[in-house]
Amino acid sequence: MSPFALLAAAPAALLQGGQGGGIFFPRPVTEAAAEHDRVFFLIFWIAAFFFALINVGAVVFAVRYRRRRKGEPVEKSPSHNTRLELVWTIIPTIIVCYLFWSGLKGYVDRRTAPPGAYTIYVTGQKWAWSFAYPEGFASNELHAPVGRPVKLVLTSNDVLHSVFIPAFRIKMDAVPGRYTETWFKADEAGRYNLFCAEYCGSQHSLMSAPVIIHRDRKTFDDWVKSQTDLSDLSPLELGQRLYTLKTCSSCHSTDGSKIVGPSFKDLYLSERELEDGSTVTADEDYLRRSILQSTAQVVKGFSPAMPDFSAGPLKVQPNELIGLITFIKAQSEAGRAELEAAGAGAEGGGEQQEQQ
Amino acid sequence: MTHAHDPSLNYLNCRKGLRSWLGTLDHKRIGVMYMWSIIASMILGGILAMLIRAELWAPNNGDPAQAVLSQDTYNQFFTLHGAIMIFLVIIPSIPAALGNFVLPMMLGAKDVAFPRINRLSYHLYLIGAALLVVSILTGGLDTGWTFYAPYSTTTETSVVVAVFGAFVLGFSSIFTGLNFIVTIHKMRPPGMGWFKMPLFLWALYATSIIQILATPVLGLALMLIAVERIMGVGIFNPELGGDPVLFQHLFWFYSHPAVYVMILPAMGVLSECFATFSRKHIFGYRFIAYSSIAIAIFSFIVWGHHMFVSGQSQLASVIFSALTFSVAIPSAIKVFNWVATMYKGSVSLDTPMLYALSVIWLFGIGGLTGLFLATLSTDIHLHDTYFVVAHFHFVMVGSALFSFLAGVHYWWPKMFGVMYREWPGRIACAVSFVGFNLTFIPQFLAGTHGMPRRYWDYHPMYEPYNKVSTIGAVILGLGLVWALVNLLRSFGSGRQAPANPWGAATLEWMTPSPAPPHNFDFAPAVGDPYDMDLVRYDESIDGYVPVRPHPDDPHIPLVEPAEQEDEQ
Repeated sequence: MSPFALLAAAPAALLQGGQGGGIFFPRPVTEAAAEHDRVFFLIFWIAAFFFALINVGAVVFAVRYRRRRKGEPVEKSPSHNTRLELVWTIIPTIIVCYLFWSGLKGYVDRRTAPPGAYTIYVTGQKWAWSFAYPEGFASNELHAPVGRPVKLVLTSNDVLHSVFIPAFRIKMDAVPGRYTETWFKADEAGRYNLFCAEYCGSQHSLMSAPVIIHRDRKTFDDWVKSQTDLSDLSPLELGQRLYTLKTCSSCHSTDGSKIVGPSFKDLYLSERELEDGSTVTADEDYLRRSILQSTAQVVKGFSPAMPDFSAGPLKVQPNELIGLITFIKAQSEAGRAELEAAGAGAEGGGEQQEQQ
Repeated sequence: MTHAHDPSLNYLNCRKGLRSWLGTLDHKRIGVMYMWSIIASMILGGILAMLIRAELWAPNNGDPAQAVLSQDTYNQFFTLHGAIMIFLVIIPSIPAALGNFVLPMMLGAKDVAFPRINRLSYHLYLIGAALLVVSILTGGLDTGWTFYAPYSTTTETSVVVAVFGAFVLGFSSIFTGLNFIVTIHKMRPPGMGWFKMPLFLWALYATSIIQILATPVLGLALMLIAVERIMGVGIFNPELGGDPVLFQHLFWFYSHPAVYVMILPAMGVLSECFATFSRKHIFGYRFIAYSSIAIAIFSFIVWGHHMFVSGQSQLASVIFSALTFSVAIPSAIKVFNWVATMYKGSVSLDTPMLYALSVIWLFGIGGLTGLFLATLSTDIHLHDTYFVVAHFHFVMVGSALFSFLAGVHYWWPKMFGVMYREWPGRIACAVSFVGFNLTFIPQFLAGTHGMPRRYWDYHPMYEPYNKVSTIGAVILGLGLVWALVNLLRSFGSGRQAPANPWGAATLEWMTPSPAPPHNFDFAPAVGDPYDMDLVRYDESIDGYVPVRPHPDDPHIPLVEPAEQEDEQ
């Protein structure tokens, strides 16, 4: 689009806003968010009034009293008026006292979780989030049912991070060495964004996580069950689960397209050209090293951007490693043949990826 | 003095050569050197800003191959953009460049109280700037200008050199502040009581108090980072037993008052412009003077509003929110008084006044959007989003930088003895104004929709805001370059400036342009700085002359021996 066409289209785009919300905000999906928006617009209209007052005043005076001729005589007018100045000192004072008061409740409310809230421990680490659920498993996605208060207890394994969910209007820093907390109660099922809002280095802008609000308690419980019950899964099914759970899918496709990292399609046993010009065969040992130590052998044309999966909240357990390698093998002809020969059953892999 | 009677001799041509500049003790030369250094730094910071906007033109979908800059380069660029613009441009812009040039002249004095410390302060500025450049060359800096720990104590870039640079720049700032305070206390001429001072001096005085009280705390905090990095002493990093939130307290204890180091002198320039270009006594002198001091005092007790979601206690946040609102009141008073000054005046729209009027709009937006960030409930959502980026650009660039430009245009004739061309100056101001609004208003909306700051890549829903913002940045850049070119062209083709081109009544205009080496050939008598009846328009020189010239010096008005003012 040419810059001019863009400029013409801009007002409409700006007014429309993103994600079906208003000019200013995504649609509020918690009571706290609605309260936040109410306070915002209260301030907005007061500010708009004063903004109009001073600017209309300035423009009217600049036009009405514009200099018509250099050296023109200037009518005498008072250079101060204590009563008027006290008025425009006292009125703003009263207004800001009121604004302070109006913002107090929403702040304390969003910092104080109701008793009995469902508690999820959130850990930030360069550059991924891990959510530990009370049922004893961890995921890289934040799930909760509609209508249930959820308390987030945050910490960080390295530098400062910050959990920010715009749709809920909540934000709290994750500070290494201590716990901080915030909470929400979502009133609408859906998928929302969670961003890292505190600068944390290279991949800061990619450190996001999906927030999935289930439409009722049952679908949420089903999801919990599917997460806790990994014991019955075959290595391939486990790998497939981990492919989304460990957020591999956000950088590695299975259809050959390039996202951030190389695609898994036809990866197994292919020849890889590395940054230093050498080549290596993508066998099981290569895959193991690339998962645990992603920066060791970076393929030419890619940057060493993968988080650390050998420790921390993303740590890949030995059985998970086997699952992931099996899953990657199943994305190539050679691997599928190998798996079939071994009787592992490759039919579950291939193209049919479960999206969320 | 022999040269006193040679009218062709001024501070620019009295001595020649680079050494006569770098080694000078003359406050005017030091002020002018600061100005060129600041403009050079601004060009560098501006180029970085354009590269940042180029990167944000379109989302990258997480793919470095689609990006203009790599993540690490981008992070270094926004860090350097912030560090350069704050430490090398905005903080010294008005106090060190314009303040140094004007302050002694406004007092009718020959120089500041400590000319050697003044020179040292400029040399420290150069050393600090050089250290920042060294840090770029030796690994860069990727901490953000805020140096938040423990990122800053663990990252591999050259943090130690950079914090040392900021430390040295801090001393430059402290020395300037110290000099100004002593000069204002001890060197006011007979008859100039505190309430006969031009308001620019009140603003510089308030600024100087902040500089000498707050800057040492920044120096301390930055040195503690160096200590933790070099010696492994656990101060901020919890792995070593430190506390990262402590750093934020120390950092903002300086850096919030530093915001007022940027805006207070800007307000001083505006007070001069509104009075002069309305040919009116400034409205509500005492309220404006007191509000400068009030802002300086309040600025020290509001730092915690940067930390509402940092993990500091709820009670602390509530108290800091309440205190923060106190700053809104003196700021509002000043704006009302400026507008009231134009009432029944003879308002000219010369370039400096056009910048000053722009600031009414820009500071209106910058100041009023501060209310959303001071309010606890709304700050939770808006903190660390583009709303904050837009807010502080409206204050630091829209208000402080535009006021600096107002001041540069206002005092340019006194500095260089030439007039720039008025119409290109006005158009450049208008272009910058449009470009600025186009750049930063969409960022408010990106912020309310949740786009976090310091993002190399963003969700595609934020694309329209970023597109408009980048287009605006190009227009803003063109406007600023245009203004600079117009100023530089005056050296070749500008007409000779009269002593008092605008009709101001403050003392710096009571001497020829450019000023003689010792400012005044004859000690000026002190009148009311806003008594515009002291001067009248003289068509033959297109400038203003005293209504009743002093018999010994035609530039100086004859005023009644001023009654000694009561100093409460």
